[in-house]
Amino acid sequence: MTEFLGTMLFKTGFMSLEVKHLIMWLIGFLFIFLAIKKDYEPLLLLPIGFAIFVVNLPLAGLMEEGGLLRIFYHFGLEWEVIPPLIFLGLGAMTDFGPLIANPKTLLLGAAAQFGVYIAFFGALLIGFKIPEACSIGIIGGADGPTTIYTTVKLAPHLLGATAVAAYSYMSMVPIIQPPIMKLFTTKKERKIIMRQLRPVSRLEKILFPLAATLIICLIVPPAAPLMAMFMIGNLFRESGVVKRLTGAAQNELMNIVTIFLGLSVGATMSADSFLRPQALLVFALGLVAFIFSTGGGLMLAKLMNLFLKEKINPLIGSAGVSAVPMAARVSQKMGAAADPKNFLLMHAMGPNVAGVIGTVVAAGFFISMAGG
Amino acid sequence: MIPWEQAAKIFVFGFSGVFVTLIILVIAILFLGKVISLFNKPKASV
Repeated sequence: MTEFLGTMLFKTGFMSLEVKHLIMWLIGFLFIFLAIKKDYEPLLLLPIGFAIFVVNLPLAGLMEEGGLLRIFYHFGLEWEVIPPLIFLGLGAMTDFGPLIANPKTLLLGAAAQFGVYIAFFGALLIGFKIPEACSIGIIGGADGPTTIYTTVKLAPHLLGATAVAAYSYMSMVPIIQPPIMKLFTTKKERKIIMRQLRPVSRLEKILFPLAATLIICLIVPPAAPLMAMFMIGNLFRESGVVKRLTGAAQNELMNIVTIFLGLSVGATMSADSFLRPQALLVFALGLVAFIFSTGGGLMLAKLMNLFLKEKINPLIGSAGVSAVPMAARVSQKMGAAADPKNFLLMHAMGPNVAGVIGTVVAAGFFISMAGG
Repeated sequence: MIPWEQAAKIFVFGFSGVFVTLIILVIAILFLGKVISLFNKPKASV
């Protein structure tokens, strides 16, 4: 009997518990706390936090061959299904009207990729290999699905760190960006009031996803899975003839895929793969990327003002990092703080969605030049 | 040993590539806008 109890005890997880597991539980609980108490990206941080917790339960084997989370990870992320499906939902939720009305704001989305390349070089200097440096750099785009897509293609062993860094910084946009925005702009610039955007016709909105898919997928074919799904989701929305599909992409599909995305990402954060100095470096470089991306958007907006008759408020430049729509809301808040009559939200939505496109294009170039 | 040559290529082609791609998209949007506005112009009354 004693022998049997002894054998059974060794079959429980208690006897295999190590300090590293407890540390990972604390990290998982921290994510759950941030999601519930602080409302930081709860749709993702909650499942990620719980997955971190359960994947670090000894002997549970959830990420071993045939384990439940391993199956989610394999078919969802390794097969590159989840990020494009998230983009389908994002496309169905995105209004490209502000971008079409003021297309020069697309350039702000390009400038906001500056941090991506700063972090890329930073990662190389620290000792990461080129594909790893690309995966770390793309965090600066502040676009979770694109970060995941790029990392799975180029450096899957960094997935947990890059994905969590991307989503963490996205949730901290209202904290990280305002000091940088103040640093790079004068009060006079923050007070610039922009003219109301012109109305955009339905036909323009229908033609935009077709044109964008054609141009981007021809120039950067590796970006096609994300861009095509983004634009078909948008075409659903703008066509107005498939309201059921639009609704499904915006709600049911998006919600289901988000659950699997969170669980799959969290599942990659086992103690053995995450508790390394590498992960901390990824977080640090991600923050650098994010700061420089914000600065890049602001600086280009200021530069454009040297040539434009009708000035733009440089605060909308910081919205060129993706993080839709939070970065645009921060621009609005900062503009209104400088002048209560200043309404920048719609103007900032242009660079904000341009940032999504810019990050996908940057990722496409990374994959085509650094992948295999 | 950092492969600087490849890194420089990735930076130069990648960053400028993002700009070029988005500039082409800007041109496409402006072109489509012009074409649509031409078709939408009210016909002159006889």
